[in-house]
Amino acid sequence: MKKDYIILFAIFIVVFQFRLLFAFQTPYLSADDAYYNLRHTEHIMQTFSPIIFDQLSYGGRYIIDSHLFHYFLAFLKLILPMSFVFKMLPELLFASLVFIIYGIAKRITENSTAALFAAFISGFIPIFISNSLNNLSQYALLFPLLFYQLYCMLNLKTHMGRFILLAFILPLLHPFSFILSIAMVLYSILLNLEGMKVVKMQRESILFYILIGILINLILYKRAFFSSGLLAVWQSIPTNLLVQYFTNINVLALVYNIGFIPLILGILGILIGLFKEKQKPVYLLSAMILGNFILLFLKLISIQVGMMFLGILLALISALSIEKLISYLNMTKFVKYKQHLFFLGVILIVLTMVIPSYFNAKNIIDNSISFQEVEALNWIKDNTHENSTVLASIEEGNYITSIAKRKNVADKQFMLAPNRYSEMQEMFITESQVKALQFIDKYGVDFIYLSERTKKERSIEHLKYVDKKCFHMVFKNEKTTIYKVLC
Amino acid sequence: MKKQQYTKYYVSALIIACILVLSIVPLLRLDNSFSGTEAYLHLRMAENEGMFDELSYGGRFALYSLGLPSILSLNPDLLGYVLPLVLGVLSFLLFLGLLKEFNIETKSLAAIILILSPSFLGLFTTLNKLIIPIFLTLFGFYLIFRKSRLHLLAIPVFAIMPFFNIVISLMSLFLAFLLVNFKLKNKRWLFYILLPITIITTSLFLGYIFKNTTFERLMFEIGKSGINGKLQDIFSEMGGRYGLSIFASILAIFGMINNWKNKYKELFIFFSVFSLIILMMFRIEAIILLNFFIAVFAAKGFKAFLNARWESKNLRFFILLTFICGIVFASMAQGSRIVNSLPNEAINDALKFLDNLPDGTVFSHYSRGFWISYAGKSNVMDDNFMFAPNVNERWKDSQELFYTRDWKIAKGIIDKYNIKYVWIDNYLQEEIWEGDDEGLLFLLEYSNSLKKIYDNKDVYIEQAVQIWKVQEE
Repeated sequence: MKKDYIILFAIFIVVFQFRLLFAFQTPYLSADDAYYNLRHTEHIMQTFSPIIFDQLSYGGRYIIDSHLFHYFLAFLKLILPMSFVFKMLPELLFASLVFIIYGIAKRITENSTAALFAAFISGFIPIFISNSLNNLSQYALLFPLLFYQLYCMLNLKTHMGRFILLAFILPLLHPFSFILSIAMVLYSILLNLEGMKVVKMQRESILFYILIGILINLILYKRAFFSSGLLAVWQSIPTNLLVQYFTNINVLALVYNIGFIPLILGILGILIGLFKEKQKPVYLLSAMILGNFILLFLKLISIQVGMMFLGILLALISALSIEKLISYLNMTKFVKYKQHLFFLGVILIVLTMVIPSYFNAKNIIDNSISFQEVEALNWIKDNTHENSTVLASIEEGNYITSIAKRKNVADKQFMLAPNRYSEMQEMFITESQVKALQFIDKYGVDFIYLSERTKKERSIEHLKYVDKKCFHMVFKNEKTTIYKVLC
Repeated sequence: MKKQQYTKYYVSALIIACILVLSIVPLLRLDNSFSGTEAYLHLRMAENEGMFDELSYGGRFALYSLGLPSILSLNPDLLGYVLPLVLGVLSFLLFLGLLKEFNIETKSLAAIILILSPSFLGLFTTLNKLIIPIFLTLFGFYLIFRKSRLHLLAIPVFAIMPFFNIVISLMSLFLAFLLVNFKLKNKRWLFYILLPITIITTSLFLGYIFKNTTFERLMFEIGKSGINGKLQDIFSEMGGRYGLSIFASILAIFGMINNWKNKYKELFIFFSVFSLIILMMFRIEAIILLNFFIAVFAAKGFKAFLNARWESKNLRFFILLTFICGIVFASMAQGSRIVNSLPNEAINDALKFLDNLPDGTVFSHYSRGFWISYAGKSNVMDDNFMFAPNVNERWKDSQELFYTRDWKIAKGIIDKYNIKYVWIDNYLQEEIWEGDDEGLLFLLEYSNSLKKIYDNKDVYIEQAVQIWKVQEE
């Protein structure tokens, strides 16, 4: 037992180190969203209150957020150094998932070797690394807590208090936590279809989790529900962007990003759990996968988040296949090569999961906001009037508000924000100066921030409508150009 | 004896609670104005004798519920405030009486849930056309239950109902049909009197309408549409003005499931609920009627939860607490919406200014129409689209005027409707236009033919109203 814990801890250290190794290759955070969280946390640190009306985002709009994550970070910032809270803590939280995955896998299989393998696999899901590395994201807290809630659900008799507490925290943290409600409903349906009964205590906890989830979401997003009804669950994400969620999906890339091993072993685990063993926890995990697909189908979550979640779930269910493989192995003459086969298993995981994770991590760090971009944003902060509005691509909107501390035209926080997505997209590709100036006039744009990143994403070399009469280039470095609007 | 006294106190406490809830919400509107737009129509009609409304759509046949303005005309200023509260309390008392007739065990709980229901709150905290018909429905049903000759009074009550609201009248008739068939079988004869009388008064009223107006099918869409739109109407938390509380509805579902075994004993209630659920897909009036049944079943559901055997007492406590919080939240959210709804002080001040201007047609969004005509000015359009003259053409022209930057086009429309003033407020600006110089806003800013004669931006900043005058060329 003690040996298992040592191995588990070693896995955690490996995963954590792997993440830190990349995270500290850049002094900045990798995702634009991370700067949204950073800015809100900094505001809470300074004023102890959240930003309710954001003067900078979209030139001024209401923010709908529970800010629980921001308060959590701000509180930790009081006692811990900044680099730990903003850089190390998210990595620590994401890496801590291995403990929870181990716990759930052990509960399902009662085999610590299988659980350890599942934990190891879950630490190196390539798509999970891509979307979580060096990212100050609410998912850093949400994913471990969500899976811990699952663990509590499977151990209700001993973990009831924690289950109730988390039932309050999770909906406050992120609406994605509602996936567990959907999974619980599907779980009940699946069990009913199979002629099995949901244990009474589980029934009660399911009802409670769903009700509290609905109540908290209704309270938090009251304004959005009032104005948009059920459409509020789509968080006002522009239709064009929702469509993009599912374009360019490459099945091979998905297999590569989720990992060959969890995909095969996970599917095998589902088949064993559902049809052979008829294990209730596997029904619950399958219901979560189904719930995940429902959310993806309804475009309620992005493909990245959906695949991250799917990857972890498959890694978890893989434990069941691994346990069966180990049992089978014990019955054959190969048992004497057990150690060698385990070693082979580890090598396979390294080859199909760790190495792709390494390349994904490297890619993320290489594409993080660069020194030159930060230099340009700082130039805006130091050399423009504080009421200036800066046009940047929607994916860089939070850089403008967080680093340059200026108003943006749009960013990716769409909830209750005016829909400017199509106009914003057009603004970087249009050839018509009349159109561009109309847009600039409409939103009172004073500066245009054009980065290499924007150029690459939109396959442009420069803004075609820019001329010397109406635009003056006020800053330029290798990766960015800033124009001042004159007309 | 003791029990009787206890019941007396309990009922008194419930009535006080009802009065408090229904009076606090309008009192919280600090400027003493009515919430929404509809009240302004009824108050104006109460002072306007005759069947021709010269201020709506530039002049039209006054196709409004006849009953409410007639009652309000006795003393519009006082009744405008008092009538919703009085009818709300009376309806509540009638609901309590009906619960007794139906032998509902959980009547106190049902009464509390009803008081807190957003639908009840939305209905009886502001002047609207539904308060009297809903009261009459409850009164009519209460009378039907009477054993003495009092039940004959149900006949005039049902007979006058169409003058207040035809839809509710027909729904009530249908519910009366279910009642005499499933519960009061010995009173079927009463229904056979109610049926022709209600149909005769409905036909008379409809005949009068069709004789004086022409029906034009609306070629544009207003408000919410689709499944989401229906959900928004049905549930208060989704934005429904008379919507149900989600948590009360969930409790009611549990209540119904729990009472399913008694379905043959309570056929009237079950049939009514299912019929109203179907009807509410088409008419919001059904939601208001359904709300009374929801209160009953939600109370039953709550009791069932309370008495059920629970594996975890903690979960029982938290689940019940969640239900209570959910019901209270819906009520508070509805209350706060009514308190914060338009018109605000800025609009009221602007209306006073408008009132003092020389007569003329005012152009604005149709949602401002009732206010404009309340200020004594003619509107181009208002919320009352049914049987309105040239409604589709007016809609098309309004849209064109909102979005055109071409003065020639705008002038054509202005002349067509003899528009003298333009009303713009900040809320409208956010709803209609994206930029500050889009369409009509551009013309207002740069055309010499439009002159700003009122702007309360200095006082109200973000809620400002502007009134522009069309200059004669």
